[in-house]
Amino acid sequence: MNTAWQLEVLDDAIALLTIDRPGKPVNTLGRDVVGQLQHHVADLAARDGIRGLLVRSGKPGQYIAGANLHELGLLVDASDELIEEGLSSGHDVFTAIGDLPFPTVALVDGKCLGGGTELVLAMDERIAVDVAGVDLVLPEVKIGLFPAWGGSQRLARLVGLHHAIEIICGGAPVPARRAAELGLVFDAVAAESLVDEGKRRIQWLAEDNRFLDIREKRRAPMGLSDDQANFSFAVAAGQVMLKTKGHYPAPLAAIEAMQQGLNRPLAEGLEIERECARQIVGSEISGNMIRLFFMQNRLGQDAGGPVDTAPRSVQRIGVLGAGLMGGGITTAAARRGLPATMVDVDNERLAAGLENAAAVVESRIKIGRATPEDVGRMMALISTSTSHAALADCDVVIEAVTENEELKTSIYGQLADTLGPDTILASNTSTISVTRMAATVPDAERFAGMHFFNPVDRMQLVEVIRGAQSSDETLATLVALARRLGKTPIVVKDCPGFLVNRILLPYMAESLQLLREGASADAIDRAATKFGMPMGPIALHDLVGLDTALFAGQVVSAAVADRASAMPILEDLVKAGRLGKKSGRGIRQFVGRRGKPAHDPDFETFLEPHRLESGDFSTRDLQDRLFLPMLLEATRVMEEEIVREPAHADMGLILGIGFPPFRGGLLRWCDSLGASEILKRLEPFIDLGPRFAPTDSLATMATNNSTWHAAPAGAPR
Amino acid sequence: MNPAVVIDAVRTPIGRADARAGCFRDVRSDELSAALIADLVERTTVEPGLIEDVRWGCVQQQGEQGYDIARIAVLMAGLPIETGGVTVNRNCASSLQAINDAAMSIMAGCENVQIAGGVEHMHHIPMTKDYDPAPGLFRKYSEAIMHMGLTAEYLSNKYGIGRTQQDEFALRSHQLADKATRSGQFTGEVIPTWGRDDDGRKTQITRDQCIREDCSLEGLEALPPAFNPAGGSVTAGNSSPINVGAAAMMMMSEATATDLGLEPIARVRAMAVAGVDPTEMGIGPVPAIHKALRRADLTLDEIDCIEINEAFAVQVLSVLKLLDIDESRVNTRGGAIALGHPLGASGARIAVTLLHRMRATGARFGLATLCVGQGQGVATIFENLQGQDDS
Repeated sequence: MNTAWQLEVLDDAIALLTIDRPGKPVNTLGRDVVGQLQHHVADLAARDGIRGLLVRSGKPGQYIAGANLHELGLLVDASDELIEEGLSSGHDVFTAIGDLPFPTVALVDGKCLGGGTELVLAMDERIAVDVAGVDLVLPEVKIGLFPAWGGSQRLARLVGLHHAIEIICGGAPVPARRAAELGLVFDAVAAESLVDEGKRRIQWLAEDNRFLDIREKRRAPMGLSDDQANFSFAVAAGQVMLKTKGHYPAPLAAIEAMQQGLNRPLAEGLEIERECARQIVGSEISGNMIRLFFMQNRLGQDAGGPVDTAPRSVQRIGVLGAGLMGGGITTAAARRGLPATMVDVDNERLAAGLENAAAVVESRIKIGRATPEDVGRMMALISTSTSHAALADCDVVIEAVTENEELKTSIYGQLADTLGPDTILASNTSTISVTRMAATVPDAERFAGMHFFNPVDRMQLVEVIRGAQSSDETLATLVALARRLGKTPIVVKDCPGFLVNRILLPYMAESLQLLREGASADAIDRAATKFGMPMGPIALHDLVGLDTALFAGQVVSAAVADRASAMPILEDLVKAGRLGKKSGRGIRQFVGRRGKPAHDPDFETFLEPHRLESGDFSTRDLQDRLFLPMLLEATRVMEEEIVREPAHADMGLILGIGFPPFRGGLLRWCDSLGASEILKRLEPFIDLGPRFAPTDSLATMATNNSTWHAAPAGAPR
Repeated sequence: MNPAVVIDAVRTPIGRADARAGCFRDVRSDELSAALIADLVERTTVEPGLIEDVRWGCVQQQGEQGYDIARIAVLMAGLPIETGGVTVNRNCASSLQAINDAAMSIMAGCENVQIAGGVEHMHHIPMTKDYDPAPGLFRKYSEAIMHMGLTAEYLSNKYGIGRTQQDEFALRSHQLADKATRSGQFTGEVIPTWGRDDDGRKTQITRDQCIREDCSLEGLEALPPAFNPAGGSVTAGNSSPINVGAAAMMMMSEATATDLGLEPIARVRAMAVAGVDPTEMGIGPVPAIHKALRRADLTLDEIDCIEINEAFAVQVLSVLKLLDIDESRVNTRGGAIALGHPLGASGARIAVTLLHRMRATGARFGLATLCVGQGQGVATIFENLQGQDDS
């Protein structure tokens, strides 16, 4: 039998159970593994002479990675019976472990996630190895669930209310030593003394049957006063609402489970936990979050092209331009130990770029994520020059000068003699055609786009733009490089606006159209944020700058003239110097020392000449007007094979513009409504122009009742 | 007036303040306080709801010792929310002051059942952390008044107490402390407390960490002067070390003890505080003892057991010299030189040890006293209510 658990009895009658799924990189708690554990527990309970139980992992650095991914996928659209079975399997075995007639101690010698953490919580004590990477985590909220194998009830009883709420609702890892401080584990010890410490702890727990007293205390109601409970849970729910705007029910369900369960005996609390979990598991949002998790995993392994194309080794990168983007890219490289040469026309610009680089790490020092030494280490990896000659030894050169085709191509012309014969040149353009610019570069095969988003240190997405002549090796190298810089690369075929801006633009343009039709800026933004966007399109216009929006809009519009709405109002505003937040006025005005956005009556005079027949708009109308053109553009992107998978479009928008993760992505939103429903929603807007015309792919899907996304591995749709 | 009595007196073992070897290096002072308080409550069987206040000495009130650590310890110890907590600072005498404050409150008919004690974690919050004296303080004084070692050197000169005498007293402290430990004289007062053993294993610690069984005069004599390298006599060996620890006692009115059927171990007979010149802060106990004796209507001869905090050997010897006290009554289980001097806990620590000494010997009266940096002394006289311990 393919057994995950090995049982041995040590010389002092202490049982040592080791989890090590044969041939697997990590230990997961699938049904089979839980079943085998159940069997071992029953066997140990019946045996004579056993004095204690230790549970450890046979995989270095990996304790238990939580649920089995395949089974997690099955939870999407799972039947009630399946959900019930899933909940019970964990509860039954953990309760049995908690009833063993001798002390039990978990020896956490690696990363411990989800169900693994709930397993160790069900034991009498836990000891962790004190090395980096040994973390206890309850990450369930990140996939729209909460710890429902007893975690919501046992954690607070162990470490108290506040930290339990924080760990469960935040989903962040608790490193071994912090776990010891919190009392989540008894101690964080050296790896070599782990088993001895476990035995010693068992002995202590066995003395005078201390473990029985401890169990009794942990099974008792927590004894929170009304004030203690009401205050803590109100604060916690408030914080969750502030962070999630109410779009994510899982942390609230966890709080509910704790609020209802902690002041009752554990057995009743566990029942309440299951009740709360039933409302969450199998819900659309948790389904979307699980799918998103799968998309992210797949994207994280995507090589960017044929899998047999190896990326070139990159020992040093060059960055042309020390501005916001160039400095940001340089910083990203140096922060991850990759030497970078930054080139700009004068020393002032280079100095400013270096200052920005240091500022990134300094801001991380403030939040405790970096040390002053990191600044030094990083700065030592950055060299600067005002001469292109300094780029000679770079394996990849990323051009990040001003978004001006003439400037960029003139620089490419100068590089021919400088770059090494194998150097890959990438342009950090956000709009300009890579294929067109390829005509001016030393080698079109070794040229592609690498579109970073602003601010580089915070935005995860990089669009790697494949020009008509870019080679597979170039793409694979840039994808690997982006990943090395801590980014998530998505390969996009060259087209105006690439992936993210192309899909974003119809939405942005539509928001201006709605202004012209009499919708208020606030109503438009509110409709978008209610949908789940981090900010509305009007606010986004002012933030990115109306000049930038106009320029990007013109590039994309030129290519899709048939369906683009002209944006003369933007031209007027830019001409008048109203560029948005950066100039103090745009569509809104920015007032006070902090530049808070406010209604600007002067804007009316710019709007007046462009006014159209006004209408009344419900929130739903506004949302349909904003998001349907966006969706249609995404379907065109898929038809033109701009990206290779629907997941890439969905992830691109989630990472690039903050499309709401709980909706699973733009195409997933389409799937969840169904193509027919989308067609129905388009009908009232058909007269507005071709931008609301159903695309072929959507029509076909409506006919076939099919969807964009296939089921993730192991999961039904 | 309601006489104030002590029901029980306990302490943690005293740890070394050391990031690598200190047994409490990863135990916080609030945790140490809360655990001791919870154990004291359990041991006395006093209904927690009766405890009205916790008075807790602590000198460096910042970081984990900040924001009224007494109240924080109350909440962490699981005492009822109605129980108050106040942190008291009179430098090294903080927790003896906390005991005195509790006694005064009881005697005045204010808060009755109380826990008094103190804590200091001199590793986590070092003694000199954020030290920032006012320039105006030094109009008549050298800044050296803030350096206790230099005030000790001054005593050596002023009262003519030489290096050998100091080293011999330090040796005595270690020998007596070692003997007391071996013979189990501390088992009644020390609560096993979670910390780390010599191998770094998390264990319930039961022994004071700074006692040197192998202490010798030769070893002490070999140490260089710590504060005045050019001709000084005060060394690391004849000074108290830097420590971590907590001590506490349960106090209430004598009438309440009777009502609850508890047998108090001692009554607070008299208390006093007095100032001395900061340059010779070490003799602070002298006027304080005089005052306390007067208030107790006792003479020094009637005091059988004396505990004087051993900030420095020279400082204790100066006090003994000035009061003409024979060593035989003083610190017979060793003192702070061997046991350690966790500032905010030391006053309660010597009072705890004193009460257990009095019970063991059947002494009727006992005196606890400490010198205080910047020139003060605090003294408390206890009266034994249990006669001699049978055990």
